[in-house]
Amino acid sequence: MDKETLARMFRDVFTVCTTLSEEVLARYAELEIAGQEPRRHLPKVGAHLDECPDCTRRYEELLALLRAERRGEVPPVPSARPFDLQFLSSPGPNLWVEVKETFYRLAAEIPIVLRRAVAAFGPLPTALSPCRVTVAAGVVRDVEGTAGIESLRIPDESANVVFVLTPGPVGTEEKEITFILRVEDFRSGEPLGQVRVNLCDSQSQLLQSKTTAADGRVTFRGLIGDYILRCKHAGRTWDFPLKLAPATPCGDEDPNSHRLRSGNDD
Amino acid sequence: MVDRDNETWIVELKGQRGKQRQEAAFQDLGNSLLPLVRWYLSSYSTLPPPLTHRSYHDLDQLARDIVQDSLLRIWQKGLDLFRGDARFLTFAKAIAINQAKQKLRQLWRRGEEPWPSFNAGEMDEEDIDRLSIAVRSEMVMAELPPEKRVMLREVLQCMDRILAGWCSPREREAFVRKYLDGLRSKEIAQLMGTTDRAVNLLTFNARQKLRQGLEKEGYTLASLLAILL
Repeated sequence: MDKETLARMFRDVFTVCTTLSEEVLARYAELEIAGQEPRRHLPKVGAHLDECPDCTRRYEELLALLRAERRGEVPPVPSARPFDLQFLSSPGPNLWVEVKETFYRLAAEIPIVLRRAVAAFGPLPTALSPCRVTVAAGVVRDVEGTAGIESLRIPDESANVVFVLTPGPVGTEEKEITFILRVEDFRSGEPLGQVRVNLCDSQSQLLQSKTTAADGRVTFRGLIGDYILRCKHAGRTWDFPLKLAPATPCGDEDPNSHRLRSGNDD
Repeated sequence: MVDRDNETWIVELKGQRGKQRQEAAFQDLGNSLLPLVRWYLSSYSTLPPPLTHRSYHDLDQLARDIVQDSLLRIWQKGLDLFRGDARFLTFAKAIAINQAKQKLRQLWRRGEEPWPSFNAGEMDEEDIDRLSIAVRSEMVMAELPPEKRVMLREVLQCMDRILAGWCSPREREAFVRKYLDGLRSKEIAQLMGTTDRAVNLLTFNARQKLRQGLEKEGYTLASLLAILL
């Protein structure tokens, strides 16, 4: 027995596995209720449930509830008074999900799609909206000749930091995209250099690791697919799930998407 | 309640069709979840001690509080996390169950009734040597400064008492084999003449009881890890 073993034991005792999200459990339970062999449709989920008592217990409780409801065993409860909806007046949903101590994950995926040689944000999570920024000369000017582009500002006031995500030039044949992350001080707006930024695949496997330059920027090129952008600064870690989708064959514009760069916008 | 498809739920709950519809959608969602949470509470076999003897009126209030918390969580995080793979209402029910579990844990920690006393003194000498975390961690304790050594010993003795008093012999053996002996589930299953899955369940039960017991004593993960630093 050594310190590391003891620490691992303490962590395991206090940690409850939440690998399977509520939605995944809900989907699996719906398939089960419908008699559609959930294990065949979602084999990885089934395999995890075989191994993980934490998730199994959550799943079994949900399934029991749904079955009871289906059998008509859940008696109605008259609602005596309306629910308190004061929270709807608050500024908006939290941007960050706290995964564990000092580890935060953006509450939803940032979708970026390629359409007709421009990159656009897909439907964005509530409380996130793209903003117009002027980037340094030469950063994206080479593509469309415009210095005014749209970015996504993602603040974390508690850590006094802002992340500005800007899709950069679109690659050849609309198959790839470059994007730039700029890290700023929340209050002063000054760029933060020396921030470690790791680009991981969707399974959290490290692909590239870079450090922001003095202008607070770091650039990743030639990307398409699902990624996690992981930033580490001042003892904290932030994850940005990114989904970079290739251009659609017909190039249809999604009315809900936000165009990032267009010469006609100005 | 007005029946809605996934898209309508999301659009209305986000307030994209006006505040009136947003509030109506949240009220409908709350009213849908309330009976389910109430049923969940009434079927929960290990309610915290203060609740086991209370009237239905209190459980109704508890269910209402849990639904209120669930609505807040759905507003703060759920709407953005939802991808549309399941029905939105099923997703909301899963959230409500998690909220109920969290609430019950809070109440359990704050419970006014004393916890069952540990069956101290029931371990024989052989058990102490083989199964005691405190005994088997003597080398780690020896590396620590005196004040931390005392703190760690208290924690580990507390864990021994929980394992001895609250866990079944098989739960305890599975836990010790896994964490003290460093064996894998398959190896433990062979030793204990059972399956991997049964071993995982035994260690899960032991972990859960240890967590509840340690939290009841005021320990947190951070405080335990700090002792080892």
